[in-house]
Amino acid sequence: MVSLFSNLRNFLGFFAMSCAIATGPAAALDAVTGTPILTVTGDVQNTNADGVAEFDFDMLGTLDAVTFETSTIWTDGLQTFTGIELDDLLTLVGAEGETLKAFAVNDYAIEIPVSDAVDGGPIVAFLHNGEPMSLRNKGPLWIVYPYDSKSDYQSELIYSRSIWQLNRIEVQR
Amino acid sequence: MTFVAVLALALFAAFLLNGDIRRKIDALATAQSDSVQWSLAQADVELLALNAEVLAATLDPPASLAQLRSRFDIFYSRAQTLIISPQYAVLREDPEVAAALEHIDVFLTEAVPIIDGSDDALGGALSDLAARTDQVRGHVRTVTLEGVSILAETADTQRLATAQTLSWVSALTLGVVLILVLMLLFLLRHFRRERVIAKEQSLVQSRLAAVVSTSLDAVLVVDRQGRIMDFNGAAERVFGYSRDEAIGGDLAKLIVPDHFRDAHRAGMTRYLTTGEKRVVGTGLVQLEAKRKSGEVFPVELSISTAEADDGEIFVSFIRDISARVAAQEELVKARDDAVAGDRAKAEFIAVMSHEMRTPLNGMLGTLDLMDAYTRSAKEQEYLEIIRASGRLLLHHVDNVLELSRAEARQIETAKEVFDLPQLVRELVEGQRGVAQHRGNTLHVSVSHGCGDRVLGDPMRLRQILMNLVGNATKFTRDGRISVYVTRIEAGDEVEIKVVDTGIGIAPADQERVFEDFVTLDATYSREIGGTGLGLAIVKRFVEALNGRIVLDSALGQGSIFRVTLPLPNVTNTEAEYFEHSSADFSKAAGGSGLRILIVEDNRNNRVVLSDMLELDGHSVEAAFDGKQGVERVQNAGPYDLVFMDISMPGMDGSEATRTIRAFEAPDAHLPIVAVTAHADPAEADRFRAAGMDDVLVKPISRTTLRQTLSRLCLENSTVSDGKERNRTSVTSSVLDFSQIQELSHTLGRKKLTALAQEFIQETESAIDQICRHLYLGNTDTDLVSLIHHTAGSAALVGAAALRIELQALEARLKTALPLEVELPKRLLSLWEQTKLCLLEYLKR
Repeated sequence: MVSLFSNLRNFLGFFAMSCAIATGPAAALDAVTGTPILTVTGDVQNTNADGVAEFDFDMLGTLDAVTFETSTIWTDGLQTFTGIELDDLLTLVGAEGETLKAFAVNDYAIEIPVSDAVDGGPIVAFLHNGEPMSLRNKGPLWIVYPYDSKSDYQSELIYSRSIWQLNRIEVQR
Repeated sequence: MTFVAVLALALFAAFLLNGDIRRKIDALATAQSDSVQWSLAQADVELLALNAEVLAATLDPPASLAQLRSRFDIFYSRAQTLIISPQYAVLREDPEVAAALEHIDVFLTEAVPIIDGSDDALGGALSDLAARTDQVRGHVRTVTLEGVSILAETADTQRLATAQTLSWVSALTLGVVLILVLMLLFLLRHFRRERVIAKEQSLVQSRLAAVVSTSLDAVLVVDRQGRIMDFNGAAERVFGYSRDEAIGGDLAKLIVPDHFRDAHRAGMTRYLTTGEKRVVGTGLVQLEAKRKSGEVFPVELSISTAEADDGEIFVSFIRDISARVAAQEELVKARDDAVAGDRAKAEFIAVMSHEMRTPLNGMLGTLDLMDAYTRSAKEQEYLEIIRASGRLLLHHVDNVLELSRAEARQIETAKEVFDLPQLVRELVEGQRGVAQHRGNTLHVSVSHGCGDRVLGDPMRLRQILMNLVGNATKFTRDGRISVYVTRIEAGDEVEIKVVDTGIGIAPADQERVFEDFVTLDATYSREIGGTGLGLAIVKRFVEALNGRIVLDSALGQGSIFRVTLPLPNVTNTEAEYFEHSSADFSKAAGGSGLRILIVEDNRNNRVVLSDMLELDGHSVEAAFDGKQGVERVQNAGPYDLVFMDISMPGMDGSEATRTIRAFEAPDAHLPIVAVTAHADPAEADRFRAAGMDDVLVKPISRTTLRQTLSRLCLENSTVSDGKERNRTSVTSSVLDFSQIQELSHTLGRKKLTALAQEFIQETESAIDQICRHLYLGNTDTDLVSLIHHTAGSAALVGAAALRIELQALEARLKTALPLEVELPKRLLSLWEQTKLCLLEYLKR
């Protein structure tokens, strides 16, 4: 019920926004209801906050997610990750940039070229082995590449781009 | 081969290298860790941040607690990564690091309840947390520092391994390059060699082409369908087709003669289907070919096959041999002409000698008859001169005849036992008169070692000696002529030396004297006279007798002719067996009075012969030709003997004899003697085959006549009355009447009968045995002694013919001469006759 209601509200919100901003191709994003765990800033078309696109955990759960299995150099054994493909996320926010700068809670920051965001490529994982990730377990979000799928994803560069404790992405021109 | 092996090796090495290098590169391409040093340092940083947050919270607790929790979680996450992540497994193996991590883990475990507790509880525990954080910093530091140094080492090792791999790669690359260079060199060499070979091949090819084009023989290359593929210049000349005309043309149509075309096609088809070769590869074959003009000519052909790009080809070399064949034919014709000429010459000589001997026969025979009448001394002398001249002429004629016969290798040699010293002495004595006439002395010396009786051909030996001594006499005047006879080392050979002190023979002529018609000194020969055939005949005779003749001479000093002949000595017993063939003719049988028929067309010969026989007391009748002779025998018979001339008009002697034999009664046998001028043994055999018993060769003398009668065992036969005549004359040769008569007188009739019956019984079985042995070809010594014994018995009772036959047989067996096939049959029939005669005699 709540979700239906919220969807309806989202729809209405979207309607109000399209009325407010008559021009502009961007599709409106629902405003976050919970604590935002991801903020996409920079050159984004679709926003739901002050020039940024914010996502809370529930919002991410409503998006089309993918799940894959892979091993990583930081964990022991095969791991299952579920998340939004970076490609999909960028489309959703209407990102028009060349480079993404990803920031972590632990002050780590790395640049990821937009060209990395392909179908079957890296995801913004929000479930690790079916569980939401706490900060202690590299949560809330973790950009994970399907390392086992090809050797191109087994380089130090890709490892450095696999940023965990992610909370912000800045789309740069 | 080497090239392929090297290439394979290189490929294999490249494959191995490729795999190895790829693996190494793959290993480098995929990183097993992120920036580990950074992560380690970050742990330190994040702990410091946590520490700072704890201190900040102590100052302003409520506001900073969330911040503190977040910081703790960040550190927790980092520390957990250090504890769990496989990329730090290397670090965790270090005991110091392991211990430090243990402390960190304990810190985390203990801190979690504090951090997760309520704000109040956390606020209360801040100082404790600060202390713990401080405490754990040392451990985190240890992990960071140790980790950095360990990872540096690991990186070093990795770098080293990489460097090694790279140097390995470079070495292998060098190796590959080396192999490639080697292969390149090899290929280069190969290429150069190929180029040299190709050059040589093209040279050979051009040389071959030059050879083919300049060949004197036509060279044709033909494919399996018989189409001409190549046609050289010689072929153009030989066949008349230009090269353009010939190439592509059908071989069978162009050069195979029409009458050979089918055979050629059949041969080609046979070869193509079965592969059977008849002409191909068999070397030179002589065939015929056709020119463009249609002329067929002989060729010599050799075909071989070769493999060409588009299948088998035939290469034929054809030589026009028409000139050679023509030359050959000419040569053959020339040879045939020469042979024909030679044959004509031989025939001429034979005819001439025959024609000359017949009148000579008349002449000498008449002289013989004149001998019997008393003449004045002067007339006797003239007669002697005529006789000597006639004999010399006969001698020359005989010489020519002998030579022509010797040319045809027809020298017949006899094997008889004779008295060698006596023969030599008699011969020399005969020459003494002539020798003395020329003022020469003549000496004979026969060494004792020679032995009296030898086996050989006395007639030929006489001719040899006569010629040699006669020659010596001719060429010696007022000198000495010696004849020495010695046996060489007590063996079978006898050496006869005729030595003279005459004019001698120059060394240059010593070989020539044995050639035909050689007279050395024209003037001398005119004085002496001679055909120049004497020594040639001597040499041929000596060789026919398996002997040798050597001349040793010095001009003006004399000559020595040395003749070596095999004349084996024979013992008396051996000699006995040859006795019959050399019967003693010394005493002429006279007045036996046979009734003899002469069949002869030549009047002179007829008169001479009949007079000679009548002088010996025979009664003679004559017939003028074969037909008349046959009529006489049939109607005016019986005769004891017939002399039959061979060449007569109408029915000749041989035919007449056959006719007589045809109607002759089985138990009767009329002796018929051929009279001929042909002194040829082959002829004599023919006469015998016609049924004649003996051959008398013209010229006829009384001596030869008597010898003939003696051979036929007719000389002692008595002719009593007409009724008994036939039987007596027939049996006379079988049974020696006088011998058995004498035996009868000596022993008495009774004893003779007993002896004769015993003889018949014994000989019956002996003859049977002998014949059986002969049929079986069994000729051992037992047989010989049996024959010897039987012959002795036959001699005792006077069975002359049987004795002679048996002795001859014995001699033949001893000398291993071949036996006639008819011999046993003849022996049996002779025995039957002997037995009949003997029984008939006993009945009387």
